[in-house]
Amino acid sequence: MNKQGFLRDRRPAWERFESLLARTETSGPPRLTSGEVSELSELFRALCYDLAQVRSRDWGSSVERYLNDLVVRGHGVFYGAKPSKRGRVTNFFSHVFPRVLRENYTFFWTSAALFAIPMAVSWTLVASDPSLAYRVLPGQVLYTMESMYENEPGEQGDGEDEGEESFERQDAAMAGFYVRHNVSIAFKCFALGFFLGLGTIYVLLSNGIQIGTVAGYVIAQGHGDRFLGFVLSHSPFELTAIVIAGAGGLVLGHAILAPGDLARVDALRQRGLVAVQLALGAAGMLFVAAMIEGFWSAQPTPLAVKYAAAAFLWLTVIGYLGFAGRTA
Amino acid sequence: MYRHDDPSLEPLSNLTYLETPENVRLAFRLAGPGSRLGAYLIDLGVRFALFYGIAVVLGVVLAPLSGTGLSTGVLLVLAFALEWGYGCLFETWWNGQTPGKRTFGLRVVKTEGYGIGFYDAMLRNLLRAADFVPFFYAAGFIAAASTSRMQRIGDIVAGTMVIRERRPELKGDLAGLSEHAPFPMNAFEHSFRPSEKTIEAIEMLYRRREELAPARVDEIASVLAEPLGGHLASEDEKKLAREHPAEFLFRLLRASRVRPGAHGEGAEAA
Repeated sequence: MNKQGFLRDRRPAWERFESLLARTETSGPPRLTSGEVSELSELFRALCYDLAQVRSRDWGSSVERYLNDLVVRGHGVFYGAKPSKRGRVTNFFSHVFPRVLRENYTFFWTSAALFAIPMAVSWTLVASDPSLAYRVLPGQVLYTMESMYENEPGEQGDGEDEGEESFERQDAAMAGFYVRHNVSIAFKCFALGFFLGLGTIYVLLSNGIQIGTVAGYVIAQGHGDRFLGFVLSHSPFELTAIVIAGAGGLVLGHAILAPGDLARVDALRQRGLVAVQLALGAAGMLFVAAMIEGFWSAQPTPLAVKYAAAAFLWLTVIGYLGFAGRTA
Repeated sequence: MYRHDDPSLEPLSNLTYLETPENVRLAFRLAGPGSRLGAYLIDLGVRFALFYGIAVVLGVVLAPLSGTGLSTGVLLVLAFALEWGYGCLFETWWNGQTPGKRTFGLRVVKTEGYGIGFYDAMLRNLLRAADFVPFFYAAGFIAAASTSRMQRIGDIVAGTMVIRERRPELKGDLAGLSEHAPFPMNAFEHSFRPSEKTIEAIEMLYRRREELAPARVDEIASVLAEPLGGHLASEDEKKLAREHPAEFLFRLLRASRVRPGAHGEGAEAA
């Protein structure tokens, strides 16, 4: 068979393949009947054969390119299609994420140590000598922090109504701000793990030190109750989530540093799934944290209630991460 | 044609190859930095447009609640979602494309050649933060320049690559070719006949002839006409090849295209 005859013979099949293919490529479930599906697969095999034939006979690069690109598209449809399951988001948070976290507990505890130890150290040091705080954070920041907890609005006393109102007005805005700000930090903490884990370690250490410093300083200035009352409720979700995002970053760094029997690129790809699942779970938890922080933490509730709520939320987080998705 | 029996002969190119289960070797055309930057800028524009569009709508819908901070909160969450979710969600829903990528005919696929899933899209988009280090995708650019599939860090970790997709098309007939007399193929020495590849090169020139100045067409044609002319038997034809290289080549093209399958059979038409 010569080239022109070949083109004449095969062209209708290619065009048919293309039109079927176009219908599978639209979003949503493929709208093909079962007969068309088997026709498509037959046409695909014939197309592969045509491409091989064109190449072996050297029938020119334009036909080859045309067939190559058709096979590329077909390949994507045949080998890439993943059926989408309903309820995947729910399933992710109820089963997948806590399981993945437990399977990678070493990364979690490493990340937790990298965050909590500097926090505890800087907290203790600053509590005993508040002037140390100025060596960590600019005076302006510390002043803002202090005045935040000094003039807690909604407290009993003068201007009660006014204060409450002006604070409530900001609840949703603050929640939105926390979502954006905190999840962005968590995602960066995760992504920078690619650089041998160093970026993640830096974010964890510096956040630990800063948070410890602020806590030590504000408490030393005598605003301990207000500070803890504000912070305690959302901290179980927020701090744990930052540590989890850090664990995700460490997974990436570890894949590069210790790929085992795999090539580094393959180790990265293999561990990347775990890493991104940790980061996504952390994002979900930070979303919850932001809602608590925006709508609850600043409420002028009696301290005892705040502490009870905080204890309840800590238990929730521990119970969730420790036990959700376990099989009996 | 590129032979794959000797890997050391692999030319430096923007192609990457993959062997399918059908034992066919596929070529993927990788997207270069230019089109990727272009797609990025379009996406940036779309993101801003989406943000302000939704902001205006929200402003109207939530007007009765103004002063509660609700609209500010929603807008901040929206800004966050667009910042981190835009690429991921579009690439998941549109099978590896965003509006910008679609404009430039780009698509993200797995390095195995098939479509990407949600986690792949999420990984490669979250890792933009690593690509961005220390400023505007410098790390990503270095990574792309040093990997054979032009992958930025996010692509490496997710196992994806950005390819340039063309709508495949077979070109139609060659209009106006009949103005050129078919070249007698038996004018070549021995049994020499120009290969299909050569004819195709001529076809490409023919399709572009009107975009180029006639002198330039001749100049380009002479590159091919000269060695072909060396295979001609008679002086007359050699002269044609030398003095009117474009005309010579187009006659050759006519001879091989005018009749189906004619490689040497156009001869008797002279």
